[in-house]
Amino acid sequence: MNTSPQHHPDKNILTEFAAGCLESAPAIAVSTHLHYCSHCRNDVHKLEEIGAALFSTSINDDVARQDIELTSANDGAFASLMQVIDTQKSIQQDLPSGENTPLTTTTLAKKYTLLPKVVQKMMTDNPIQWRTVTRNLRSANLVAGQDKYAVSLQKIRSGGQVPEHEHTASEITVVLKGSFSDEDSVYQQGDFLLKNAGDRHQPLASNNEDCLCLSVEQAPVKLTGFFMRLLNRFISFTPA
Amino acid sequence: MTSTNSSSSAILDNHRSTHVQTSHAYSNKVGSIHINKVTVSGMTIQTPTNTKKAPLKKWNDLLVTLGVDQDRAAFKALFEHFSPLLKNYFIGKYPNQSSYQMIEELIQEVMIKVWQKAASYDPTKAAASTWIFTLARNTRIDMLRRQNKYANTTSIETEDIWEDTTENGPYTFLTHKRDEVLIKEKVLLLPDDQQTVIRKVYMEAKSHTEVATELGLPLGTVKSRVRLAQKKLQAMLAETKQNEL
Repeated sequence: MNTSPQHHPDKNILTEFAAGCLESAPAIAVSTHLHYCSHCRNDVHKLEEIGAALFSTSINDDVARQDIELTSANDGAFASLMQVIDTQKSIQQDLPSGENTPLTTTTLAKKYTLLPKVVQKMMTDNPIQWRTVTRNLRSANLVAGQDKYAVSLQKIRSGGQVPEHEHTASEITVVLKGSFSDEDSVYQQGDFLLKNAGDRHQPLASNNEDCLCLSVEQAPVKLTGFFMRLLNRFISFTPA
Repeated sequence: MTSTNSSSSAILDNHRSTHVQTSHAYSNKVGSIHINKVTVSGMTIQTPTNTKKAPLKKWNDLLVTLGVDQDRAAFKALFEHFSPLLKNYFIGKYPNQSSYQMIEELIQEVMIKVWQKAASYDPTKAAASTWIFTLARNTRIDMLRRQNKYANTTSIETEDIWEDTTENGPYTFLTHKRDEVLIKEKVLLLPDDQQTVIRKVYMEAKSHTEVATELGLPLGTVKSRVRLAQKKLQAMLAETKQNEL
């Protein structure tokens, strides 16, 4: 079984991710892809090294450092920093990523526990409500701490085809489980697919299992309420 | 590994910093080392006067020392080197004078993270500057998330999305501090138009689209200039790595 993704984010998306100027919803999609793709993790690290090089050369010798009001550079600033550190109640020497407690006590079904942590958190923070979009497609909204993108889970029934539809806004799809194909290619676990506004396709899930995907769709207008989100997706259908 | 050969390699070996204007003594557990200023191609570089067997510690080593021993002298050296860089970094995103107080707090936040997380720093997986850059980047992202009214509708943290850069690897680029002089020289050699756009993306946190709008350029032009700059920088980084072997 092929285990590494074949479809990746464009370099400019990875650059914005590494530079930290990618918005959080598409960043979640990139992060999800990185969970499965060592090739892109390597690329992101190289992009971070470029960032570090720029960061390290940000001070020009020509620009007199004295001009910059550097209270940080004198002993007073260091002393106050040490004071803050010394008075902190718990100084963590271990690995970071504080184990933030989820907002609910929902436990995730076993089949989902290998999903990327960020996806698991979204699935447990708020109750998942699966809605039927078409006979073969169900959708569940995810809350991602922002309102510029519609983030959701999409589940295509095994062997099922989603009717041809046109995207009204750009959408990123990352395959979490199973696989689907469209006119262009086959997409498997970890694959990252960007569709632009106006693109059309007819995803077909493989026969052996349902296909579960993370979807991040740019909202062309500010979305209010659940039904608006549902309606905004797949606005134009051609009968299957 | 200290080189005792030509004087040029002695200058580049084990240098400490290229930007501190005044010379001062740095003490470590080995002893005191005094630093001279040397000018190389118009830039001031500090070199140890004692080039024999008392090498200055590299930033990577200082971080490791900090993690193992909570060594305050090491932390102070890191602070003195990185806090001006951090200040410049945050000014890129928040250039207004009214933000200076917030910037001081952001610098402190990053240095506290350096203190807290040094024990998990692995020099085989990332250079100190890369590691600290990612801490600074995540702190900047944290700042934005805190200003977002929807942030508390989820338990997601910045580190869930932008994971620790040392969790994967090993990566073999930039494992030695002495690269930094060469990299600095070479970054400054990038053509202006490429340097401008790539700095806006990394240092001012602007997307390619925002840069295109700001500079009045086609998006494709911005993307290709960033790509070119990246290719050149990656070639430089690879080259400096090779020169060490």
